[in-house]
Amino acid sequence: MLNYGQSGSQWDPFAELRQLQTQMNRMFDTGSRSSRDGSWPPVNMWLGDDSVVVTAEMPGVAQDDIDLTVRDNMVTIAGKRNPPTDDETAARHRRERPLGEFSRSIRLPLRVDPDKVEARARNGVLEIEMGRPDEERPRKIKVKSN
Amino acid sequence: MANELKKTGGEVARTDSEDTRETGPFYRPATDIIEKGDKVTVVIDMPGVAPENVDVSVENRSLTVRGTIDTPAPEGYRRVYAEYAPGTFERAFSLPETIDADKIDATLRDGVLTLSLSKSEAAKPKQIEVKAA
Repeated sequence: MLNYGQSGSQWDPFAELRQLQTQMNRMFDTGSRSSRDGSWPPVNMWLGDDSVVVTAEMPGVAQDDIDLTVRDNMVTIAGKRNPPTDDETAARHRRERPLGEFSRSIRLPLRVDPDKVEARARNGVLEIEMGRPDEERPRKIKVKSN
Repeated sequence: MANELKKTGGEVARTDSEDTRETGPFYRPATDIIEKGDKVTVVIDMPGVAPENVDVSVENRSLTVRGTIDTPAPEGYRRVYAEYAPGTFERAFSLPETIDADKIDATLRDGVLTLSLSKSEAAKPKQIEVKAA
């Protein structure tokens, strides 16, 4: 619960700071939405028959600002999160959202063909669908009787 | 526990605990608050929330935002690794008296909810003209 300005016209910057500290501690204690090792963005991975999907929560990053690289069994998501304002004179009462440049490489359970990559962003969630190279697809071998 | 079960035609339809599973766990979304002049902007991360699934309400000078994550699993895939899960983002803020609760503007873009708040007329600094007697 935020009590920004609760005291009306009286502003106590230290109370705000103390509160932020407690909130930060709480943020790290309970599950904040970032990966286990703190890297950003947090991802989920989905496996299909001949393809893999990586979804990433990256609110505030426009589709054009996402830089994707796919190589062998590695996908790298990079980009930049802009601050909510560039105005130096604006007072920032709370800063919890991660900002700045980010880059994260994710190892995939299979090698993927860079020509078979499709990525789309919706409501701040990026979905990258990557297909296995044709020559590496498992082939079904018919067992003949006799 | 047993009497919480509702039966329909001999079949157990659902329990109360199943209702909470639909909304999933609640998450506290990361928030930035910026003040400039007579404007206060609240920026809230809500990835996976569509504009129609956001609810912003003001009651007793308490501003509550709630957003349900709607990210369907990719069809034909099974999840093999997860760092985030579906659920609901929820957070409440108490509005200072200086904020005009009737003038709150909300927009959602790329999973970021932006609330634009204005200070009430009464709270704005006024210049008082000094008249010569």
